[in-house]
Amino acid sequence: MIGFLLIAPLIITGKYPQHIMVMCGIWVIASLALNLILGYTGQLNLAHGTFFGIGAYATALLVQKIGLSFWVALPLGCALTAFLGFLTGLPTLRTKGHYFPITTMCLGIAIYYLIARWDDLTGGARGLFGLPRPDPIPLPFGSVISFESTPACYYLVLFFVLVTILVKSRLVKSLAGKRLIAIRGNEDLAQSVGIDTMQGKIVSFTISTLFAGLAGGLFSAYMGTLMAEQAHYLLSFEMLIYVMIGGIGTMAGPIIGGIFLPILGEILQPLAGFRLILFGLLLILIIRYLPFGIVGGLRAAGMHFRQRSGAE
Amino acid sequence: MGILLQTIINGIMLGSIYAMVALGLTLIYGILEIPNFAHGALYMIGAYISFLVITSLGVPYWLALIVSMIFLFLLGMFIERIVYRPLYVQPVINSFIAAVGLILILENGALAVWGPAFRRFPRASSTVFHALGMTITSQRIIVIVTAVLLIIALNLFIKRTRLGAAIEATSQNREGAQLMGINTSLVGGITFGLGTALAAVAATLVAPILLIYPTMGGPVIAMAFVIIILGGMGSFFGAVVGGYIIGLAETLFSSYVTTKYVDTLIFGILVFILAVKPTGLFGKSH
Amino acid sequence: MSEILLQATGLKKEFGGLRAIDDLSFQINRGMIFSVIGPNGSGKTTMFNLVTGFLPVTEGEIYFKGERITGLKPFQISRKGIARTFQLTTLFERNTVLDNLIIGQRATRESGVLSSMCGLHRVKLEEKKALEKAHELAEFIGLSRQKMVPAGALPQGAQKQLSIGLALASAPELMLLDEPVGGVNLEEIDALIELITRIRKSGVTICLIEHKMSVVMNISDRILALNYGEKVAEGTPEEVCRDEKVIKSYLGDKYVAARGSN
Repeated sequence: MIGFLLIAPLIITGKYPQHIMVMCGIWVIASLALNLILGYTGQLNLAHGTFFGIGAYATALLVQKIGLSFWVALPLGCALTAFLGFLTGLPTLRTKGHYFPITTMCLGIAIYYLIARWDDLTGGARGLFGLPRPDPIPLPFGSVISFESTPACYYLVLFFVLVTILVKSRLVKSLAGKRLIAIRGNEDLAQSVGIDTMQGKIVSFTISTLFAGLAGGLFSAYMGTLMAEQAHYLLSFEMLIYVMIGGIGTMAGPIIGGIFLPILGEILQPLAGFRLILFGLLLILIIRYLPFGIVGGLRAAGMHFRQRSGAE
Repeated sequence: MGILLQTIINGIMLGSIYAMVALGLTLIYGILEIPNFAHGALYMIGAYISFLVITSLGVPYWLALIVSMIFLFLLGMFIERIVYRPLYVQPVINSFIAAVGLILILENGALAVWGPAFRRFPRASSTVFHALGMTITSQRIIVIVTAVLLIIALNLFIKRTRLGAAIEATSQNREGAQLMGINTSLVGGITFGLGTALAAVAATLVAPILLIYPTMGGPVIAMAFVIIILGGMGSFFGAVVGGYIIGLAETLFSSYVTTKYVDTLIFGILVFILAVKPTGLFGKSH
Repeated sequence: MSEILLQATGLKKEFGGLRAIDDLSFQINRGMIFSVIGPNGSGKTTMFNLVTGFLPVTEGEIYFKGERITGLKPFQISRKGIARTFQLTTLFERNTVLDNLIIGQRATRESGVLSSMCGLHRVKLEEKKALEKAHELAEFIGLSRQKMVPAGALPQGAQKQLSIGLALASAPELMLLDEPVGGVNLEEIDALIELITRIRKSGVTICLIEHKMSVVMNISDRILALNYGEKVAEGTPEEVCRDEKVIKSYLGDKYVAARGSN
């Protein structure tokens, strides 16, 4: 699998498919991030897309307005996004049950308007453009790794995808990860065994926004232009779809969702508006009949077959 | 002076819209305990149905309003039955996610049929009043008067009719109501339909003043949620009073300070209040 | 006389106008099995909720090992060494028995997020130890054959066992069990009683709410009887079951009158 991913750009030539691969990578990172707060900690953050946008704008502005190198701007952008996530998480995560998604949605809208109207800082409705690709990395013997080409960007994104997967899988398998799963399972019960649920939620939220910001930063460097739409709640909905259809609460789910659904979206592009209608319908059907998405469905089928074949 | 009065009238008008939308939302929440996230999208459909009926069938404004109301009442009952009801046993998050799916379907459906352009909506009447230094179109008066009448009518309906009593009982204690022989599923569906119909009225009333477009539901629904969270989810009084307060506040702030950051300010207030009192100002303790 | 582990003085709990607990004071000594009885609605679970921080007290104080714990959050009280089960069997249903027993442990709540993400060796060691302890706990509570079963799929009796195991996992000094044998059949009752006795032998003090009088009389060292949120009697099983007020609260005045004096 990894081998295939590594040589993919050599096999799949053509600008358009390669572009899709880069975008999928970015969406996978963002979906993995959303799954952390949603699938593993049980909180529906509808401002996730907004944090993606914040990360995108933060990195872009640090590069464009302050002149920092991408390699410095990206970690700073991530840190900034995570910090904002932390600040907004503190009041919003205190809310119970139903209120949290509503509050994050409102938060997302508020920040979206802020970005869309703060002309001086963010270019308002016009957005930012002319963002440079990451600076070339010098290698020994005088050559450089340049990021002007799409395949180069693909490898960059792939690198971060692998990092995200590594970090996240370590977290969810660890004891600390079990805390988060407990919070999702039953907050009262988690409290009764001594778990500080508020702290757990905030930590999970902050890490989730950090990686959302990472995806956003990569997006802004790769695309070169940025508009307020990148912080709109519609983006949150799209990533929700990727996670839900792929499989909430699993490692593979967001990966599958983040790869196949954007591809499906591109294929259905000629259908324009109908594409989203289809996604909406898919979402409702999934939540009703297959709430654990594709991965969940496969697992259940696997268990079913194992039982029937008498395996113990 | 004239400007101030005009602004206040506009604020009351906006407040009327917010109150109706918030009222519909709070009614639905009180009975079904799900925040109907798709309420804004349904509001938008209400406007477009009226638009459709007026422009393609040449139906007069008031008739279109009623048609839209009935259509959305039925649509609301349909959605409750088909989309939400199977999800009551699942965690609340899943209802939210289903609502997101609904929003996508409705918003993009409208987009596909009518396109993204802002549409002008024919008015009920075009008389313009001049008084006390203000210029008010009759449409705004119509909005306010209709809203107030409807709210009072709804209140009387709930307090004085048997169906209204059934709704009240079911929202207080679902099991108890069932034991008394009330068909709570039907009552739930009807209430959902009522709430949606209210949104349709609000949308149709305001459509001639503001243009209609497929995503017009977004900001309205967000504001409606702010209102019912502050006023107390499930509280009739809270929704109405909250609606007018927010409507006035938004209009006054826009006129005298700046239109740019109104939304940010209001949502900021929401987040702040929730941080201090996570169940809203007058919330039912759920 | 052994040390006082838990002490409550003058507890009052009001909901709006309703007084659920009124002027309740009691103490639990280390090493005993302390039972709380009373008719439905007498405030037993409310008292548990007050002690464990799930409900705020309207008035009164609670002390654990001499330290004031009134007003602390549930997770803080748990960390002091008090564990509880819930009347409605509450488990992490989607997780396996083994996972449940891992989640309950101190190691889980203390493990660092950052060090976990870095995959430090120390963290892996903690995980290994927690897993071993979970296996031991599964043995101790009698669920060693169902370790990989999702908690939600267990039969009622096993679920009760697991919920006790979950509480035990946090290595508490005091365990509050809310109706540990509620809704289970006779064989399962024996197994659960045997488990509770074993837990007491291992040094944990136990306080339980229970309706089944045979169980209560059998294993309790001391009983607290409640009615309408007030203490009706407190003492040894023999004392309490002869107390007229207790009998009245369960069976009504007419019964007492009909029996005449004892």
